[in-house]
Amino acid sequence: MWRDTVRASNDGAVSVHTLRGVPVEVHERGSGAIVVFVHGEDGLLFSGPLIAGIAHGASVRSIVLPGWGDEPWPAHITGVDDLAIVLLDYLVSLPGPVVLVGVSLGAWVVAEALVRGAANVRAAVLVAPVGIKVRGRTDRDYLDLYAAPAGEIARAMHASTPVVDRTMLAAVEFDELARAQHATTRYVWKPYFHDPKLRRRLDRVLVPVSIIYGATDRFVYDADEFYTAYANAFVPPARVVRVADAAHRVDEECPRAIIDEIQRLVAEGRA
Amino acid sequence: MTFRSWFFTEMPYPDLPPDGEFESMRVTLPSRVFDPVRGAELYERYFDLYRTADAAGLDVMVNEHHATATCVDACAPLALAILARETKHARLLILGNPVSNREEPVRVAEEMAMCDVISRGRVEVGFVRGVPQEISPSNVNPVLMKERFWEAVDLIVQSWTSIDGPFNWEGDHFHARQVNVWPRVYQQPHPPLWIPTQSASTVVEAADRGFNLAVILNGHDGARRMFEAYRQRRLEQGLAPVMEHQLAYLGLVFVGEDDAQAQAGARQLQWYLQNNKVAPQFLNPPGYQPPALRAPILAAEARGTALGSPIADILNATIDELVDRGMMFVGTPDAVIEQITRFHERVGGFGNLLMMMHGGHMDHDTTARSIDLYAREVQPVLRAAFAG
Repeated sequence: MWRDTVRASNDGAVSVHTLRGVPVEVHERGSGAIVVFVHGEDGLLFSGPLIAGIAHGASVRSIVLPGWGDEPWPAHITGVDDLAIVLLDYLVSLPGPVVLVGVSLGAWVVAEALVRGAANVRAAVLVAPVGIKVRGRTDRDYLDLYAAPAGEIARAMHASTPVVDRTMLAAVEFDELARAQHATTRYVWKPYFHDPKLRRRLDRVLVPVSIIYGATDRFVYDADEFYTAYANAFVPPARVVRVADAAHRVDEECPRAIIDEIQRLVAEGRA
Repeated sequence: MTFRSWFFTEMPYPDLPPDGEFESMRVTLPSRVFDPVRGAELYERYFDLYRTADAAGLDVMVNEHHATATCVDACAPLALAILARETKHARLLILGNPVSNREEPVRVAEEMAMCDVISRGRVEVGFVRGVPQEISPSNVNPVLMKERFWEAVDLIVQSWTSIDGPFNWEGDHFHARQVNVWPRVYQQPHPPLWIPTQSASTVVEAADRGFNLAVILNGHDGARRMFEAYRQRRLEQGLAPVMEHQLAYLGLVFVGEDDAQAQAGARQLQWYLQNNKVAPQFLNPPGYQPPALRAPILAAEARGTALGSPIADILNATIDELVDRGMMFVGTPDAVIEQITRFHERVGGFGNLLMMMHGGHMDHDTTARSIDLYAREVQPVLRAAFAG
């Protein structure tokens, strides 16, 4: 049955928006208050259950960032800052204000957009966000995905066996995964998974921010310390939700925690 | 042009721990395994071999690799500089400079220019993209390697050929200010340029630019395909026809006085094939090749059927199989002449044989005998046969 859940991300309307010359695919699902979803390293490949859950009470707009998906990847889109500007361009096209949700690399893109003064945003949810550095020059903050054995990466990402069995993906899904990893590498290689300037800019963010992370996240070193530092960089500090039964892929392992937080923020917006 | 035979050793550090005690020869093998005193002896052996090859009338080639015991020539321009002084007649091929991985192409241009002048114009400059397992040690974004490669090559060539004062370079990947390379290269307008490749797209670029093309250990079928693609591209583009001196093939070579001696030498050469273990996470990084080519490899990895070595298909091949496939040329002088002649015919001709004549624990005398036999009894016959 997992394949149906994977495909769920592609249900609903799909449109292509051209944002200052950049073609961007957007998947739209559900109705109600608008929630903009920004995927992580794997694109929308494993986000089906989360998106379906959010769509029960909201209109989810899942943006496919340049490099992922089938749209051409313009040559001038080379960094996470470019992705943030694409997101900003998309946000101004929406009847706001919206709840903005990002996962891992997508959360980094959201953070970069927020520090640039995102319009039309009511609140933001950063799920296992990356993008900042808290440790010293000989200590990585993030597991080296390009040097760690596959088993170590799997344990860092998932607290238990992944819902989606990676060995069972169809050829077309391996194509999608290969494109996603290619794009991720383009954006995160150096500095590795962070922007040295981001942490000091987070106090510019004017909307409420929630950070959700998995207690056994081993993609970041010392998850509690890292995400606390991330939260404390916002003024006032971001609200922190620690999910016991999840590692880095909270969106796959415990989508309920994210859905609950989004619903809370949507309800606050109505009040 | 003369058919050229280039002596080459990877300069291995062969004193390894038992195979089960380390995961990978590349990237992660701790350098405490390297004994500097033993290392000094080995470097002496390798440079002596290069001098022997020069004295025997062969040309010579150096390469470089990083964070590995398979090749402790970690800085090929340094080796080239030593050979520029220690050899007298040999053409000196560096194959090559991994310019994607270097931060300052102008510095590469300076290194090559110095070696060219010191050697009085004997340098031939190769540019290599580098193997996937060296992406981590170089920390260059694999997605950008090709773009960086060609921009670096363009900057280097312009550095050599701009002789009327400084120029500036503000490209996508490299910025350089007041570029004015001293010394000027000895060979005008610049030394011959080479590129090794395994990919069709690089063959196209090499053909368009007229670089010498080197095919490495691909056997006769692979070499024929690459050489043909190169010739075809030049034809399609209306460029000058390909001369044999523009094509090169690298294989393992050992010449013995009799079959037993040759087989013993060949077994020592196999060390290179059999001691090249690479941890799987370094073999297939995203970006090194297009996603469409990488996707099936990802699928194989997920199912536990991925290859465990970059040369897995020849890892355990017998000497006879390697000879049959055109990856190894081994035997008495007559046998080696016959094998190379047959290979030459099967691939449609080529003008340079790059010869890995040393491997693993092979000592100086064993290698030197093979060099001597090749130079005295094989090379003259091939030169006469392939003159053109």
